[in-house]
Amino acid sequence: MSASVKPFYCLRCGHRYRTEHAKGVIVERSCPKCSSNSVRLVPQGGTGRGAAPDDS
Amino acid sequence: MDAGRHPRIELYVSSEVESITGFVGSFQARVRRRAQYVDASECTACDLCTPVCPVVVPDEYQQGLSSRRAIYRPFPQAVPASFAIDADNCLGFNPIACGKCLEVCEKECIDFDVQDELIDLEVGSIVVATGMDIYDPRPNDEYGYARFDNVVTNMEFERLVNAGGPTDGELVRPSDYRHPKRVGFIQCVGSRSVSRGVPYCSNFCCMNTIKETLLLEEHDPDVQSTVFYTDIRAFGKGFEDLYQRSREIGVRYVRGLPGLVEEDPDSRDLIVHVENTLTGRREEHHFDMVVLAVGLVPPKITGNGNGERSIADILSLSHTSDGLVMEAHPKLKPVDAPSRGVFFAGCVEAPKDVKDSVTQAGAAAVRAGNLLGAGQVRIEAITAMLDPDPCRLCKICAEACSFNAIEMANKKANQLPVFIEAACSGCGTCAAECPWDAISMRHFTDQQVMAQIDSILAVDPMEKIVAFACNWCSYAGADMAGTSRLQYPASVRLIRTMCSGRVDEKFIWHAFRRGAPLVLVSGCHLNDCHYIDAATFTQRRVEKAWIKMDRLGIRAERLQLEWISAAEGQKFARVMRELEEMRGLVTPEEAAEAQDILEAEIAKQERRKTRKSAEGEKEPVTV
Repeated sequence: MSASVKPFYCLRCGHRYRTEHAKGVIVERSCPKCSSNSVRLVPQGGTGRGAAPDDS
Repeated sequence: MDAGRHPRIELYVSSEVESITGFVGSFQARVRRRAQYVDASECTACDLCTPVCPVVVPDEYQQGLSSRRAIYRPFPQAVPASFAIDADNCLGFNPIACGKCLEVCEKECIDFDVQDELIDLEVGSIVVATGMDIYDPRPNDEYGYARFDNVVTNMEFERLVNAGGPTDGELVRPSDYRHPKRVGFIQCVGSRSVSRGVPYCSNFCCMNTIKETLLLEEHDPDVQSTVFYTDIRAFGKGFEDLYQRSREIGVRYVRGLPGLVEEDPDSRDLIVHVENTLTGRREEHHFDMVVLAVGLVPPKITGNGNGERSIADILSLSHTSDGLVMEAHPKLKPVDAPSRGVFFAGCVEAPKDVKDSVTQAGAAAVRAGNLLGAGQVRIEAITAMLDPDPCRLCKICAEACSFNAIEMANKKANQLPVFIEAACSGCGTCAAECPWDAISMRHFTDQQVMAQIDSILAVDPMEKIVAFACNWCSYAGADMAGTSRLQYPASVRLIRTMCSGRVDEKFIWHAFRRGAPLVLVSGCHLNDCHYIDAATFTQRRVEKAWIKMDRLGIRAERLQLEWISAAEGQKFARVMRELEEMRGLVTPEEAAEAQDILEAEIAKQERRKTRKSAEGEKEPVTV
């Protein structure tokens, strides 16, 4: 499984960062700023108003 | 050797477990017995064959310090006490180019045509004792090991001072076979390092080095030993005495690990540069020989990618981030695997010395014996139940079960999946994954969990945070916070599930529908999951819920995910304080709007369900 660098953001502190991501591979992620595990991939456009804006 | 002679123990040497199916009390194991080409029942170990064998290869048992032939006895105490042929190096195969051993064997017990044998065994319990591997200092060229002949590992040193070793116990240094008079020992090679080797302490190396310094003193009282250490861990009965004895005989202990080892090209002596952390000074030591106390690394517990499966894969064993297998409970069930009927003995569980390995092996044998002797298994009443009516034979549950407790349904034959209660560990992942609501967990049914949510949010829902906590880690982390008297906000209301894998998406939606401003899903760290990989399903489910929240227009921040271990009481309290701050940012209007959105979504789904039902189709349960 090839990994590529993708934008992530923290749902706790809002910190944005880029890190490796391989599709289908579940790894434990934590925010480098606040260490929260509520970290998700920045949704890539076309999402509803609940989504965080895409910075990629 | 006792095991080899025991009438009720059958040994399968040179054998590998290929597959294991079934469950506690009724495991079916398929074992591949590798061909050894020598009939062990006939061979008398007369040793007529080895002198005629022309193939000479490094002897693994002697750490490559001496050689063996292609027909050999792995080591003097090997069971069975017979010879074996190393097929990779022997010249007797495809076609026979040698066969000299065959000619001299009076018992005629050599047969080059023997094939691997597959043996099917029925067993009631399994003890995993696959041990650990030794850290290989070559790739990182630890302290010049790959370049300097006189830098050896503790295992090589062990063979050099052993009477059964390649030098008959005479300690010589490899470069010129001189007796070393100055020997340096460097501790923690490959251990206690995040970047080189493994992060944990390998447990045995300190005492092993102390023993070696004493052995060295016995061999040659004129030898000056120096030990470079981070800290000496001599806990346990008699170990401190041994350490003190070592100091009394004049072994020097220097606190600090060397930064550099150089070799004098003429004398082949070694120069060790170190900062003595007790004096704060840089020191230079000259040695004839340096011994590296290499640590233990976990055996390969994941498949090698070539179709071969490790025992961890075969038995669905979970492992920690260090790569060590995980017990059912680190304190109360230290020899039990999470899967019932499987036990651990020795270093496969964690690095340990001989005494601890023997103790654990005894415990594992008793646990396995008790299980078999009882003739029946007592299980927790928390198991999965199938409701046949809504089941659509989709097999999602069987794929989600890491314990192989759900046997696949034959969809074509319209057969329902079979739930093996004796194998079910009660994590509830299958129930949460089932899109048809066809599975319920005893004592953690949907109704019971939702009733808890209703109860929490019945009064002042805006003042509450609904937190799902897994029994083993997050809930225990909350306990730890409590017993440590750590303060965390009273607004947090915990709902305990056995595993975070039980937290169904619909529990989250239900909490939001009842007006929860914030929902937390928490569980064990992914590598510490007590149900093998159930927590990965949790993460995937929460990520899916975030996407759905985006689509519905609900702020994803209102659903939080956190991995909290039983020891992380402080983290638990900190996270709860952070969530309390976030709760204050959710307005009643926002919560009410989410409620409306979800109610509308449910109504939409109900309409779709009614339409599909009229058409004779079923609709998966979502929000």
